[in-house]
Amino acid sequence: MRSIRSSVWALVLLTCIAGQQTLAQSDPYDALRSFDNQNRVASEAIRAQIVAAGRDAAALARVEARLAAVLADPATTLAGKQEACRLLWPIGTERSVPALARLLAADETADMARYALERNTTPAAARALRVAAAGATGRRLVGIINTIGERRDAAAVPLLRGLVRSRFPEVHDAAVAALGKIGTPAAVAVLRSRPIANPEVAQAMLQAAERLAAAGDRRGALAVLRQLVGPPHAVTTRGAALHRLAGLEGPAAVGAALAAARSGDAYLAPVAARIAGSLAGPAATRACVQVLPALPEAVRTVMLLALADRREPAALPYALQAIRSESEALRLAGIRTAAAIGGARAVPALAEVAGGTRQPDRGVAREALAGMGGRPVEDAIIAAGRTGTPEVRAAMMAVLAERPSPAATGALVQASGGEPASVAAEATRSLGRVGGSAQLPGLFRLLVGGSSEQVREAAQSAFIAAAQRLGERDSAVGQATAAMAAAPADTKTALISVMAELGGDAALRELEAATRSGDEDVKHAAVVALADTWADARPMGTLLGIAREDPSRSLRVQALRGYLRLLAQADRSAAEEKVGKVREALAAAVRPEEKRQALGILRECRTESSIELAASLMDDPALLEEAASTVLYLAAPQRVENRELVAVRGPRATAALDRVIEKATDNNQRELARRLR
Amino acid sequence: MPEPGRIDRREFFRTAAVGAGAALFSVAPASALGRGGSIAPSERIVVGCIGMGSMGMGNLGAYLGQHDTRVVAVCDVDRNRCRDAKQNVDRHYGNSDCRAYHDFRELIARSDIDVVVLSTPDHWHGVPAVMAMNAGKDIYGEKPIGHFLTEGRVMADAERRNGRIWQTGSWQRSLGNFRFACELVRNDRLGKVVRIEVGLPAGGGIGPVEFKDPPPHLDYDFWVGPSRMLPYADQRTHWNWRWQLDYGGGQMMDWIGHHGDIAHWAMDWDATGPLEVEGTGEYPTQGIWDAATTYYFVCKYAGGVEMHVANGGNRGVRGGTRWIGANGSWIWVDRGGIDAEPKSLLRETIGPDETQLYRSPGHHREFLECVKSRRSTITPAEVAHRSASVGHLGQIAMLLGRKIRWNPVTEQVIGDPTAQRMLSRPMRSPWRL
Repeated sequence: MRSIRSSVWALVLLTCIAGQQTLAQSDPYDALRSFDNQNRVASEAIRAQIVAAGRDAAALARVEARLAAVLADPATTLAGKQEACRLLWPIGTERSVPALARLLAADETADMARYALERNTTPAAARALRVAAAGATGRRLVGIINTIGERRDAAAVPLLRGLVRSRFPEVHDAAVAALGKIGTPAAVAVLRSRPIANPEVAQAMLQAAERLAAAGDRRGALAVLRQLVGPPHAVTTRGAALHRLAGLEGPAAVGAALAAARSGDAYLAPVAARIAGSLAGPAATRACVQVLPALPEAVRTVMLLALADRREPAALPYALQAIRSESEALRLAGIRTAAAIGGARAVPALAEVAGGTRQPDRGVAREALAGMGGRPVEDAIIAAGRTGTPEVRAAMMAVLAERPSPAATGALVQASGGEPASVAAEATRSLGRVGGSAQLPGLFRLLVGGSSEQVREAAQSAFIAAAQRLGERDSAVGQATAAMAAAPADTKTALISVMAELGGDAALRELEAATRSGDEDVKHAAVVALADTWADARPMGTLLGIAREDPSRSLRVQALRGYLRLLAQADRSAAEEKVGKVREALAAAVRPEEKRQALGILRECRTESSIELAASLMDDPALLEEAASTVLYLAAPQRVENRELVAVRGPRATAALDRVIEKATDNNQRELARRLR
Repeated sequence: MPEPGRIDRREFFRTAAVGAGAALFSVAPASALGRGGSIAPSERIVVGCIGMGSMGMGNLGAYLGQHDTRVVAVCDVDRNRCRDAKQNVDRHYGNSDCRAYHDFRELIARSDIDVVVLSTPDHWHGVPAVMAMNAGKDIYGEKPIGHFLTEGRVMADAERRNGRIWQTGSWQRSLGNFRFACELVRNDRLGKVVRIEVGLPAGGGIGPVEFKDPPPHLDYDFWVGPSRMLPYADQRTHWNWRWQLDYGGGQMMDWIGHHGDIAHWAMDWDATGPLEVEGTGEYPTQGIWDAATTYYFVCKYAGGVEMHVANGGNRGVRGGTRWIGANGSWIWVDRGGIDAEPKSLLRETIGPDETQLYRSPGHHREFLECVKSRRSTITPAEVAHRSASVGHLGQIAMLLGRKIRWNPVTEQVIGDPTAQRMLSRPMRSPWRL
């Protein structure tokens, strides 16, 4: 009996132990100890605890304590410690510092400890880092100094004072950088004790100046910057100091900026010119425009644009002067500056450039004019479009299209009916881009009755563009259809072209009827329009009929080419059906050119009938090579735009390859056919 | 007062739009005249490229293709990539002059280099960028600008204080459809915008991988650089670094600098940020990729406008950027095109008296023009930092599982020290910003 009781007790005990083991295994902190850098179930579970804790300090403290225990456990792997540090990064307090301090003391764990400590704002963390720095060397020391700098730990300045004297450049540079980030007067004093020509020291001083300014010590910041802004410092340091100086002093820094702008240094001068030109205020502006003409062109360009960017009107005379400069960069800067600040006063000068022949000035001026706002500017552009030279007037018509408004449209309508033709044509083209429904009838009138061929051509394009843009295709086709009967021959040709461009059922009916016209010119125009312009497959039957039966050879050829174009581009039939249509076209074809066109379509039809038809064309010596090439293309697998095309196989494909082997004169083709067979 | 040298481009270009293909400024760069005022042998901008992976090679090609640049140096910690990039440059110029560097500090130390093209992984953006700007280089840098939020702030400050020119690889701003969409929004074609949807790609996970020694051509310690040292796996480094929070920020951080950036541009939020951010994300628990695979977070801005950022398809958010007006009208834009409801919005024109956004002549080209003119680019560091901040804040909110409140002026989290700490990450020795 006793032994039975013992056995039962032992069983219970074993069960409990097993249960505890299971519990232990499911505990994420235990699992974290053997983290393998891949299975993040445990660390995600701990993250979930952090998420659940929210801003509850007590709950976060429990997580932190568990993580600190993981760190303190000698059984925890390095990966586990690193992951624990990552989890401590956003939540650590003084509670985890002792464990982290131990990691700081070893090279292989110092980086991970800093990961957890750097954002830990407690004094304990700061102390741990300072203590660790005192005993660290090499890369570990550099890392700790960097963290001290990131934390802007002013209490570390005495420590850093010693470290800047290190004989190791990495330690020196890190300590200097940290002092710059700390940026207190005491830190600056240490930096001042170093050779200031050293670029690391200069950078740190620049950073410190910013810290001083942010802390309200403007005088201290200015003192540092004035020390750095002139020779013998590197031009990069001087430029940066100048930026900060201007940020603190504003217009009062213009003297220093202009001195640097006139330094002749290719790096510093443009940087300084930009700064000087950006300083607002009458005194700074006066100083800038005074020196502007004497600056080298490259530097002048930078300053001019800086003045433009802050809309300084005093720069206008210099901008207008710059427009006539020999330097392209300066001319373009002048154009842009004048546009930015000149308003209507700048329009005549810009219009002159826009109407000129010099590129890129002409394009830049047009775009600048197009973007200038305000009614006075618009009035000035319209005025220039009325009174300038024909070239300037035409340019203004193009500009008005870029700045649509009722007034602009009115000016365009007026000019489109006037003289000279070049201006009227440009105005008409612009109406095609910006005109509304109300302008369509006017454009149509110009199309059928414009004063010159130039205007009529412009009106044709404009009418089509406007109707398409406005979604008024049907009414536009209606206008064209209605005008056909009474139109003279050359106008009918234009109307047919318009209908072909616009498309639609009514247009197709009209064009197909025109292909049967007794007027040869009309008929020719209709066939050409369908063959060359029409966009869908519907007229293919008409075109094939003409290709077969029309008495005119040239029309037959034209129609056949159109038929093949639409078959290739617009016909959506299945491949087999397409091959049948090619066969019909070939029956009507007499010239090798159209047969080659047909072969091109066969290449897109991966069927046996296609390869067979291609092979049949090898009988024509003029087509032998292309036909063989088509057979080989179809008989081989292809990859086209990421699509895999399978090879055509079967007895007819084999026969086609045999025909290549038999008839081809090109050895390579024959050899390829043998391999594919 | 405004920072001297800063440019209010919006204001300027309201009246002086410069269109695509506009002529170039050609103020001579430092190398053209020579530092110290000597006369230079050429007028080309001298370029050095750091990071020669896929983006790096793309950017290299872009700068090799410019008429006024000369690429003289490439740098990568992967010897093979560095070699390939050098061969590429040498082949282009027909010589063997391009220098290949292992250590970016040597490249930056070259006084003849005007421009650094920075195409490194995210965790290697801040250190070389700040170092290069302090050394007087202008930078074309990939997005997201900073690997963590405060890093972006340091970089933007370095750009401004050093008077440097910075272009971020948020190149969508240089495309016409994005600009037009933003101009429509800016000019109130939707009326008051009440909601913005930003759809980005979803991420992916990976099963257990094999840890092993790095390949001999890769300096893995240097590659890890300022981030935490984790054991090498093939799936850790090239291309795949993006899916790990120690080196990247997932698809979300990759794309926030595109579609999120465009959302900001349209709303004129280039110098500000949200007031509240809240959301959830799915973070894998297995394998070495730990960035969120799916995510949805909402940023609330001043005026109550909400920006919903999600992987595309998540709760109906469509890939791209969509602004929705109070009256239900909307404008959507993506690389595939632009759409709107009502459709008539797409036929709108922007008049000269309206807000016209800057028309870039091409993203790389625009940078070079600004290097010459010393004007700010279309995506300076400050803009990139503000766009990226949205992603960083979203990431923190998702990781903490709670709403965080944000002061976009002081760039501090309000009332949440835990979240505040997560704005920055300690760097491995010896690296520092």
